[in-house]
Amino acid sequence: MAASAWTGIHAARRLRRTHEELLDLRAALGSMGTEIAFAATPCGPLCRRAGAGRTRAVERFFTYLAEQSEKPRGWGENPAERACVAAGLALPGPARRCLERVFDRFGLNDREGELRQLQLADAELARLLEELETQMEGRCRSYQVLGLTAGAAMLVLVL
Amino acid sequence: MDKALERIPQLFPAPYGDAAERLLEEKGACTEELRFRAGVRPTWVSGGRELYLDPSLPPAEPGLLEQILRRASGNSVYAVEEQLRRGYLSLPGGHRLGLCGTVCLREGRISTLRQLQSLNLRLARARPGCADAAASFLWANPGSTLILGPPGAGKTTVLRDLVRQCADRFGERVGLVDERGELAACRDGLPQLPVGRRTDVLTGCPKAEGIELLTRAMAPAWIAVDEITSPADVEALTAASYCGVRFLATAHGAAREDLLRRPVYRLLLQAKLFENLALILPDRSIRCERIENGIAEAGGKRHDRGGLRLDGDPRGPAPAADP
Repeated sequence: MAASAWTGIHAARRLRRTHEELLDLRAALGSMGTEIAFAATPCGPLCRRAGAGRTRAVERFFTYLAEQSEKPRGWGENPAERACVAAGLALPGPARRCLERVFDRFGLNDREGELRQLQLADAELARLLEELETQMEGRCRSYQVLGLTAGAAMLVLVL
Repeated sequence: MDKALERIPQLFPAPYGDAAERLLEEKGACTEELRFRAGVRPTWVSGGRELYLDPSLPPAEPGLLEQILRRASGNSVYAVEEQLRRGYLSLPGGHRLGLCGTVCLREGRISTLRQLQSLNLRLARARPGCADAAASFLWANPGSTLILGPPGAGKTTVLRDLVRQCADRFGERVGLVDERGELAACRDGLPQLPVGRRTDVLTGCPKAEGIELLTRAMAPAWIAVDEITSPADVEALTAASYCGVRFLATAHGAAREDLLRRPVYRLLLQAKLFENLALILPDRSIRCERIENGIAEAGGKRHDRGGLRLDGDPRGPAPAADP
């Protein structure tokens, strides 16, 4: 009973966390764009700076990318997917795919190409955030109510 | 392996990296360049001869050249865009990666290079003492000195040693404009190659602006620049010469007649900026001459690079090199 109530509340919390992380990721990608527009900062320090002072998962995501990019062979295949897993980022599929598009070839394009890619990612994340924000309150309430109702129903059944 | 070459093999993916490591371990001292061309086996250059790095290696594929560029740029090609526009990449340790491929133009200017066709890694190495002859001549005939030699003859190496000797041996204050990061190869402000204790290094700055900046800010007795190539450089040198600064510079040319052929060098001679000419000969010895009335005097003295004491030096013998 308590477990089903807790599951509902946890799902709502997780949704709020996703929202926070998406906001942070968008801000971090924005700071990367600003930095490379003015300075020739290589990938490693660029990712470290972008992740500094963000939520723990986002910071870990960028630290992982920075470490991979500083290896001689670069960050290899699907770097964003691996970084998400390593950092424990709770992102929806479209957001993960958006990050994959940014980081798959990041560092191989010229500055204008990188900036364009970051702008596209920013627009995509803004759209995802807007979608999430419109649904978030309702979904959070639903999860909590469902959890509590299921808990109460089970209590009634047991009694 | 020479410490300056330790990181070179990491630039190349296997099996090329292993072959480069073996070569540098065995013949590092005489390796001048490593060349990769699409569709051809990689080669190395020593004494002007080009040999296969390892005949059993497969020919380089275009993707390989991109991988090398990616590694050389620290996986951040956008961060080296300015250098790519000029067709080369300066690497830690003063090495230089020259690039050839398809040029992308934007508004009539080179924007970047794509579809790489070949790479040339020129290895930088300090050879302390290689400019002993030129330094002794300079001590006997103080004045701005132009080092003349064909590509790959070792002009930059001679200039670096001359700068070091000016600063350490003669106790002069030298300003060094290291536009491509090859002369001093500064990293975190520390020169990786010996340029002397009294040398102020300006890295990454175009020569013309660098000469002006150094004259204004550092009050050098000498300014050293590598490869004078444009009228703007000559203008900056002329302006600085009015402040009593002397110069150490290099120029492309196989003989002193080449100075008269190329318009930029003709400008140099007309401005009478240089009093001494150090000509690097095909056997890598240096012939030093005085330049009178803009033209080098014939019959200059020829010296081996191994060191020289000139007789009849009006200022006495040159100071000994630092231990």
